[in-house]
Amino acid sequence: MRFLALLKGQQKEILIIGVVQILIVFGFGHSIISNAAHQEDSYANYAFTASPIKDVGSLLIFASILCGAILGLTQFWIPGTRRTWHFLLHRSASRTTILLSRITAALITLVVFTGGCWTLLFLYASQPKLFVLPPTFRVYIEGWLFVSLGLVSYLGVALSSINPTPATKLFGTVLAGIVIFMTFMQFGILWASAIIAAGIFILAIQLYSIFLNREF
Amino acid sequence: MTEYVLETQGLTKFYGDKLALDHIDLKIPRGCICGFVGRNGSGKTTAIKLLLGFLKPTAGSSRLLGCDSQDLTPAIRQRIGYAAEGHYLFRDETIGNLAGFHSAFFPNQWDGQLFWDMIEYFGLSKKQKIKHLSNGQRAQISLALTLAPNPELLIMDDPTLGLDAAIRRQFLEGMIELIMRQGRTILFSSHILGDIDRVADRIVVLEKGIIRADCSLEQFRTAVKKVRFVFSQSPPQTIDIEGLLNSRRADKELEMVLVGTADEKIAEWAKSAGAEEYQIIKQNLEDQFIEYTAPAGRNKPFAWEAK
Repeated sequence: MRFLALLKGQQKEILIIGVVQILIVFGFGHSIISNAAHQEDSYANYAFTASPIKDVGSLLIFASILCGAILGLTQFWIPGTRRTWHFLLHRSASRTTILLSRITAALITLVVFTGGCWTLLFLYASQPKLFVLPPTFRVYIEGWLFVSLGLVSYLGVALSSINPTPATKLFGTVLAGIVIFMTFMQFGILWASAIIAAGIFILAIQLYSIFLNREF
Repeated sequence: MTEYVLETQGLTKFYGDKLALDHIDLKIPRGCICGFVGRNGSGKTTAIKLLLGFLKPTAGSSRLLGCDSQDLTPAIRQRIGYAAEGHYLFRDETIGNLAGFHSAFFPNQWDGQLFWDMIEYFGLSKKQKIKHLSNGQRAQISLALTLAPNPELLIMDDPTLGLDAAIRRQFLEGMIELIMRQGRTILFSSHILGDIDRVADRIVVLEKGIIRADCSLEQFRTAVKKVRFVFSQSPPQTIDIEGLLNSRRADKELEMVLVGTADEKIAEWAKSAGAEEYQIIKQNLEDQFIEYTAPAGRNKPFAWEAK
């Protein structure tokens, strides 16, 4: 009940970010794919890896990372500047519940709005006869890895936003940056997944620990 | 046996190497309205944040409703109302949405009727957005949100800041009404000593992180005295009287601030010092507080006072 109240409050607060995300990812993504599909012959001669889905991938990376960073700022930096932490924290819900509600709301935005758009774009690009070589399932998985980079940037920015120690304040953002960079250095999906998972784990543990123990 | 709803033991807080609170020992019994006063930077807000577990003490401990402040459970927090200094609320919400959000945390406890009665009294409406309200109106919302769950213990950090005189009086009357309900306890800090005088039955004076007074309001009102002595010549250079806190000289006059000095002792001293006459000056609580917390030995007037 309380978790749901917190989640609902958060979801309302960040809904606009999700809507903008849909407009960017789906709007631009759809435009990229349909423009390419209309240049029939040129694309028919290329392997799919060089097809417009790659441009959608770049868009997805950019949008996910940016969306994650904005979510992190909205949920963890703005309450500090608007001084609303006390109003939020003194209520009949534990800090763990409050933190989980925030992370869940951010996950919903990233998974449903960004990931949902990606799924729709993939289904659109997979339509028979749209391209000679339809996108493979591997491309679909790669897209989700790009979406998960949004979670990495979210946790990194969130951690930096609530870290009260000036000396380590940038740790979250820097670590998120390193994880994102290392992900692009990997060629295998498994390695990239492992790096992202490890980054998410470290950032989430740090965020949990600081949120539970910091002074407000 | 007295039941204390709020207790601190040697509560101490340093910010870096700056001492904010120094071994605070407090015991507030159930059913008490306690005024928490002190000058700017005296440590009131720090003490309140420590009590509510927002800050961690450097030393010592505190308990609210029998639970350690650092481990306040959601169930205990539900029984404590808190209005933070500055009344910072979610600015993008409407009053109605904010009430809906807030009430979800007080199942079986939220008095919606009381909340909306207060909102109506303040002349506000459900659809107004917090960001479009003035500071005073935000304070009104904050108070309504704090009072509507009927908390057992109410902690308020300068709650009347920004309220106009009429609303302030109404609010104070509301506090008295709340205390009339069995077992309610209120701790509130304020810079408006008139408010403390009107509703508090106990006063805690904090100065530079140290408790300077913790007694009934009546005791404080009786104990702090300002006396003006008039001499035919210059006043004596040395003053030897019990309870002397501060003194000021001007020509043939001598003013003293005394604490806990009996009237007979004052008369005796006046006679022995050769004063022509003396007068115990009637003071309100604000005057008493200012005199009580004035730095010792501050005999020089401020620049603008001298002009």
